[in-house]
Amino acid sequence: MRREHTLSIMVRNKPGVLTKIAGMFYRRNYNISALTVGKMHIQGLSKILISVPVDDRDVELLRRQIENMVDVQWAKLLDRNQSILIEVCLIRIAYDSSEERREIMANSHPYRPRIRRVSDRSITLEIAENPDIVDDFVEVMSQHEIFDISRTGMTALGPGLPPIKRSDKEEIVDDVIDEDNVN
Amino acid sequence: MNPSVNQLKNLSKAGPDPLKDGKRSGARITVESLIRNDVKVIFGFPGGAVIPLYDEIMNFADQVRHIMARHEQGAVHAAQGYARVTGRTGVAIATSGPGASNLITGLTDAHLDSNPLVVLGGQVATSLIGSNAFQECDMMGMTNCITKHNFQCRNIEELEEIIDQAFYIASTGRPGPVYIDLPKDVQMQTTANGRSGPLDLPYYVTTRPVDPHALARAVTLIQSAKRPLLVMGNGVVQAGASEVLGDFARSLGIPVVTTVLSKGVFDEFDPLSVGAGGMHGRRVANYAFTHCDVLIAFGCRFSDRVTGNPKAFEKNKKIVHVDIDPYEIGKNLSVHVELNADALDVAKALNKEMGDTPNPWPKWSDKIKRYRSICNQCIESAAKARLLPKQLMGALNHVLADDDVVVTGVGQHQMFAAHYLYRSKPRTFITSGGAGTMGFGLPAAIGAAVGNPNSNTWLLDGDGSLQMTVQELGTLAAIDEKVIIVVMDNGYLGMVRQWQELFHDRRYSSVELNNNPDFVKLADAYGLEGRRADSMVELKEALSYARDAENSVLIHVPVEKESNIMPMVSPGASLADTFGECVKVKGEFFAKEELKQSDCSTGENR
Repeated sequence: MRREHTLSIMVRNKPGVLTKIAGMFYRRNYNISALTVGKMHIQGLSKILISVPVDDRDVELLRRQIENMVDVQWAKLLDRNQSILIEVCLIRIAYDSSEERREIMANSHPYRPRIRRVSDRSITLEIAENPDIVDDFVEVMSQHEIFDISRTGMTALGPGLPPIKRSDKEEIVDDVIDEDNVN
Repeated sequence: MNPSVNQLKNLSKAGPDPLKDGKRSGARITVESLIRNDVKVIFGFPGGAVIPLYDEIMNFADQVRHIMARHEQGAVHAAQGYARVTGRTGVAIATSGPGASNLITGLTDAHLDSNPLVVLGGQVATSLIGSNAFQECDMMGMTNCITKHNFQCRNIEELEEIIDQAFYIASTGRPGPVYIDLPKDVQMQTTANGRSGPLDLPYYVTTRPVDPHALARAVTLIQSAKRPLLVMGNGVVQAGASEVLGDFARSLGIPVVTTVLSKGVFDEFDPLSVGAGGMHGRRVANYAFTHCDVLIAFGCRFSDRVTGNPKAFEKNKKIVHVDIDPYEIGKNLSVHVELNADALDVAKALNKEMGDTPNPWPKWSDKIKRYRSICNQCIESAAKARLLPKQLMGALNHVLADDDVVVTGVGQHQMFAAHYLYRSKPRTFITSGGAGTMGFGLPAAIGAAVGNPNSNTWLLDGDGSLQMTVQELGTLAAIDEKVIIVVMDNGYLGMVRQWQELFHDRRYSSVELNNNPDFVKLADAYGLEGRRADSMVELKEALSYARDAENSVLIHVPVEKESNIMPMVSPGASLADTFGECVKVKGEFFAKEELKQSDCSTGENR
């Protein structure tokens, strides 16, 4: 049974790294649902967040295969229940009358969207929320006429500290930090 | 053996060899870097995009030898043969476009069998990349999945670092092929700078230390075993652990099974050796796989050819899996003790913990020894008009020396060789395992001969397999090294024909090779000596002659056309369902009558 899993991958910021990782998913017949990548605060490093339906049995194998790559520092499977998951959604909705606009505002109000742009024909809203909530928001808004949507895909931070840097044979680093007590 | 981690990581700059204006070209930096990384021989094929590189190679002809192949595929397979025999990193060079894409098959083969290779491909100038220029090809995209790592050098300043990194990555950890894309303008740029200090590879881990808890669990498991079996895969060859592990097996009396790829890692003349197991494995090997209760696997990735149905394979046994690559541990089978470390480290640790234990399972090891000698005696089939492949194997066994290297192509002849030839040392049986590349044999034998100056290099090839890279006869004729080529000619793509016979009602779709060239004349056309052997007398004479000859000899051996290599396990079936004429009762590897007839006290069979 394929279940949606989330992998957090720390990579060196070099051309081609993203292609290699995405290529690996394609090669193993996994269809990536969402992928975000952004720079880390540390020079030369980027973080890739991938959301992909995988069998529970295979996900550890996939994680190891990614972590084997030369430019990958670590690959971690995130527990979705314990992680912070955020996706940004921009949505442009059309309206003909001010009454319709009021309706749009009323329907979207529970989601506290930011208003990015207003014209006499459309309004552009933005929310940054858990992807499931974004899905709900889009569904609620689809009772109106949607001109356009742009979603970023999901980024995430897992609980605790990132894994201790893997070391080569010479330096043996003990993993002593108790992850559960750091959040 | 892999060079020490520290040695490579802290490579210092050799010092620029100043040209007139104090700068070196990219081509010069490349060749000097190869030499600095201890490269003695390069296999390659020139072309437009690598002419600057080849110009520099000529300047260093006294320090590094270049052997020109007749096809880029031949160059990369030769580099593989050289790497497999010597343990050093093989190097191949090709030009851009079709030259580089001709390397793909060889890279795939090296990737699946974990061969350390550094392969340099020319590329069009950086300004033209991505424009579908003449002889341009996106090798970076194409090699993403078939290399351990790949680089494209866009700037001469990063060239030296890239090459040093490539050698380090290729030869450490789990070895593998590394591809470097080298644009022509970078080869011609010049710089006064070089590289110094440690390599910039902070996240590349070569190996991990032996986990003492896992080791303790493994020792406990082995101590509690009643029928243990040791698997020595290709990882043991690469780690240089065959001697230590062999001592361990012999002192405890644990039977040893190998894979086709690692054949020779444990002395097959030793009564504890059951040979190679798997789809075409020996009966005694598959018997041992099926009936053991603790399987101790070193450097083996449990490919589907070895396990048959994995669910059936892992039943009723506990598995200790030792591998340097964490991705392989538990990939195909459920593993009870995971040991992600270097095989040599684990072998030494195990020897230290348990090496003094006298054989605690004599009944099991004696049983295996008896079954082994039954297998060794094998069944004589009635002689037919043409020689039988089995007879050819027997004749080869008589003439092979322990130090000789045997290289094979792919197909029935390969499986006959894996099944019947005796090999007693690691790196003396060179064959395409994971990829099964037809055409691997001849170029790999050339590379092997270059890396093996002290004994004979034999190539056992099939008529189909040989013709896929037969142009490399030209490469062989041009060098001093000697290869004895034995062509097992059955007039078919034998392995495919066998499957069509067994599984498709003998519908022989496009497998007949009824217009083979006269191989003796073909050898002669290339300036090599050729002989034909139609009978055992002629064969033995030709083999002895070839063994003692100064130069390469090709021996054409026509064999029985529809011989099958048996016993066999159907794809996806359990190893216990081995079938073939020697398996009298399905499901029972050895019949009761055979056990009565055997008289093997020692099991020795040299």
